[in-house]
Amino acid sequence: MNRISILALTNYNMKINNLHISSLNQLKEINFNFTFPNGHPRAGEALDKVCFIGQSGTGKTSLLKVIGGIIERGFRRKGYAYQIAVESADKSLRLTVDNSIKGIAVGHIFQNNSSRNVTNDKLNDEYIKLVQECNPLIIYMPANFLSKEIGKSDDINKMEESKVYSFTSENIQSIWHKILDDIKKHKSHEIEIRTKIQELSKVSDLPAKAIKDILNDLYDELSRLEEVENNPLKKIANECLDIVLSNFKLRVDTKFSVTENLDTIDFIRIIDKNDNPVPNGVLSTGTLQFILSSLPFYLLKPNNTIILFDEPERSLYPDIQKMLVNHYNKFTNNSQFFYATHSPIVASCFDPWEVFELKFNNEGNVYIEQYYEGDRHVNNYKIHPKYLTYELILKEVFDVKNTDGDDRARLLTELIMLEEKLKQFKLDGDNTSDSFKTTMEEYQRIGKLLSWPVKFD
Amino acid sequence: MRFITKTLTLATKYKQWHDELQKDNHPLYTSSSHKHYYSIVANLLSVQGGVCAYTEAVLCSPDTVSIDKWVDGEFQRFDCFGQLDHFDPRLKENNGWLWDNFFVIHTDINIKEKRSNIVTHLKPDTPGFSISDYLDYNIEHHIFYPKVDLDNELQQSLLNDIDYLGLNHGTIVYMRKMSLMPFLTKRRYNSLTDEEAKSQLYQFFTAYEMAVEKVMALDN
Repeated sequence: MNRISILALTNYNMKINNLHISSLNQLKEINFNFTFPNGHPRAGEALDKVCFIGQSGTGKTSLLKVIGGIIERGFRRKGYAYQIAVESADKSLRLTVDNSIKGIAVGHIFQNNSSRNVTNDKLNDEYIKLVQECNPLIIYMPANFLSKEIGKSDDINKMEESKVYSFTSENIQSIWHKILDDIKKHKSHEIEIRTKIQELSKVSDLPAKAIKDILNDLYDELSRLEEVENNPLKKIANECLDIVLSNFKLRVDTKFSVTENLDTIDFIRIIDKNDNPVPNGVLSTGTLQFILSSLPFYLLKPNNTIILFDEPERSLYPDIQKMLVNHYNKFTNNSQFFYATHSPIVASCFDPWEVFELKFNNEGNVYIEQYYEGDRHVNNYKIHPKYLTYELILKEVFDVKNTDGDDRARLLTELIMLEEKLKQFKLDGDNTSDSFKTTMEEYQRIGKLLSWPVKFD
Repeated sequence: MRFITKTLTLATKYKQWHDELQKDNHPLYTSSSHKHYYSIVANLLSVQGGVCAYTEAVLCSPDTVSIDKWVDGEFQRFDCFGQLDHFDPRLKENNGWLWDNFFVIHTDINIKEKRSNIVTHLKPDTPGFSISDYLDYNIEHHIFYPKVDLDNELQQSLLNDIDYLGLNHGTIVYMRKMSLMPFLTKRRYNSLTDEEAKSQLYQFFTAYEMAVEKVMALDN
């Protein structure tokens, strides 16, 4: 029987502090403690960010989907049964549900020191009350979200009541429509003013002074719209995209263009360092990934939101990967991120209590590698990704022990042998013989190949 | 890599079968599916002290294959990090079950491209074999390298042997470093006697022997 339980800490914010899965594919009786450990100033509170790592097939993406599914659909999640408990931050309200019996949700509500049982429908009502203040409720970025075609028309009304921004869904166009609504309104307004200016120049039956006054007002309005604080596109450029696009020698084009298509993302135009436009169709996959993943966070301003992000590192160079977690986080408020990653660079941005390494045991079931010894206390963690080099993260966190590669190992052995020979030459007082010179040249040659600091101790 | 006395006294059923095999006409080597495979592995692990024959990385506790676990000269299927290796790959085809050619080695160094090469000098059951005749040990990087007083041709040959046997394979080097450093550090600052260190050590014995001498000389 599949059974999933979530303990959620909430004060109309949906920070999940515990997830228990009894059985879901290869995940059996597995418990995720998403709270700060003992000894931490925020001990017991839900974590702000979580990072799932593990070999392919260990269930990282499934976990994101499970969390998203339960939070999105409340207690009517179909397809599997689960247990769920939601608790307010002040502990005055706690809602637990056992939906592990097929089709029947048995609920228990503890409120103001009293408790009562509830039925299916009332359970859902209570759940809705808990999440209604969250806006948006969920943002879900799947690993393949770039492959979702943007620009096809679909029913925008579908999004009107939804607080779920899942980039897996069919109505992807509606999601972007909603995200970019402010910019489109601004652009529409700008076009409207420019049209009026054009039309006014054709009007001959108004006094010249009147025309001049109207034109002045319209130009003032245009100037006002162009100011950074009133121009969402300039704000996107300044506050969200340009700081990273500069790494790609690109920036957002904030100048007005009449060729813009307000029905697609294309009206956020990118230009190169010489102001040449770079059409979205020829932007690199990494650049597009960065732009399309940043915009929802910046424009939706997530507040009390569960954010699920699968493989944020996709197509991105290491230096950009390094800044992703902080980049996304700065646009959110009181939200909780769940990342799934294969990137040691992304993993290096997390404290050890935020990292959940999923591994297979001999029976093929998944377990969580425990990073602490003894009590779950900040002082008892033996692995700290933030303190490790990337090589050590590969070795210690990702269990890739052979980071050198066989070719390097072979050459390194030669280099060490040559180094020992040089020491012998030194002991013998020989620094002029042909043999010494040959050895030194070879040592330096191999040293360069290995990026080895040449030493003369 | 240390000298191994390769007695075949536990896997008696295999020995009986082996002794009746015709030279150059062995049955096809079928790896772990063969009825004697685990008996061979267990007997080898017993004489190898539970460690990889080449790298000395631990594969199982010696107790795992102790004499009391054997039944009628056979050993049942069991889990360990090791795999059976044909030291000379040329013998695999027609003499695939030859005891003299077998060792149990760490899974990570059993790389087909490497183990299909001929190792010329470093066979750990060669009578009188001593690794210190051929190799030295670098305590900064924890890797073995050919002794510098050997002639160049032999050094090049040993570089190949080190490579083919995986003595400096990245995984092994890291394990060796992480395993030995606590012992070597304690020895350097005299918080552990050599006797205590050796009694606690369960792998990389040769590397320890070579390294501790150099470590103790560091502050002199």
